[in-house]
Amino acid sequence: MENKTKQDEQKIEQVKEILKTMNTDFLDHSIIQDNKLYFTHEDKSYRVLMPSPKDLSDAENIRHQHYGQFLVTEGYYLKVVLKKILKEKQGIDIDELEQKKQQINDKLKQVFLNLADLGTSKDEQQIEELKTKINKIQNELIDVNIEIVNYLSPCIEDQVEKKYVEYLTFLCTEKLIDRSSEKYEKVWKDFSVFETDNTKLAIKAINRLTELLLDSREVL
Amino acid sequence: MNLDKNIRKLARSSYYQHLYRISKDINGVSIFQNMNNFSGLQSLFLYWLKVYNILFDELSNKEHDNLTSQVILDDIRVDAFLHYRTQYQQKKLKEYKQKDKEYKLQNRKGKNTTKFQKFPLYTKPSD
Repeated sequence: MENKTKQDEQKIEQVKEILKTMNTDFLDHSIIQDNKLYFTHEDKSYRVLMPSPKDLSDAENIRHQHYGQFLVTEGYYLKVVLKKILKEKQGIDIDELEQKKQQINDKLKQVFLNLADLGTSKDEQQIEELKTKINKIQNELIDVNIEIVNYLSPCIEDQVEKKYVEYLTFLCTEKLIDRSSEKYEKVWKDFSVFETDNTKLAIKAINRLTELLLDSREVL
Repeated sequence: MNLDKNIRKLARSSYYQHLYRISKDINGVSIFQNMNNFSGLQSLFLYWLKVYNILFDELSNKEHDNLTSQVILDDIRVDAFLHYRTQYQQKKLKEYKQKDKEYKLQNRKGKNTTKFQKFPLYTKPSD
């Protein structure tokens, strides 16, 4: 379990880099004023919209189609089966990692309560020390989460989820064609065109749509 | 993610706190341009808008000794305070339930009670 290979560590670093690129350090009202997010790519303006009920229904159909395909395809496993294979063949216990996550969460909660007790305290140093400790524990939690996600990302559930988000991105991304009349049109005419798009635009659009959907994913 | 940090900054800003209070009183004043199909970011923003509204109210009513304006301006300290607040409310609820139970028990003693008995239904006498 502790024998993380160099490859695993490199993967974790790569995911952290991708997370950093998703960080947009701006404070502008446009992120919440409307149910759209605007972005630029190679000096052109784009936007992602919240999906309509029809978009959600179409994306759900794509999810079901791919779920059925993956179930009968060699080399694709459900999460529960993949967990078993990882444990038996690779000595990687996901349940143990989940327990570790819970322990870190409990430790974090205790440190939060210690910080809350210092409410009116003038001891700035103690406050900063606890805040630093909290940041350190939160980073530990992120590392464990990334590790779990990396191990389980090939599972069928995550793969169909990926297709679902990609299909929604294809449906909901538009480019600005006329600034004066604020006219937008779809970026990709067909899902197959989106799937073969190797430019950074597709990745940026997926990131922006994921940000836009955020908490609403649990309902959708 | 900085997105979360920025949404919290917007939510606790005096501009959106005032807009939130006004929108509760005056019909037609809305926080967003869209009236439905809210994005995940908008729903997260609404959550923090409400949280900071409660915190500012509790600060002005001096409900908690460990809540100050410095705490509200610091995201980590707000998270810490919210953990404490949840624990505090659970403790208060437990104390209230216990007091309520004791009060009911005390008031039950020494009072006249009515006993209900089951009487047989009227039956016609046989000839």
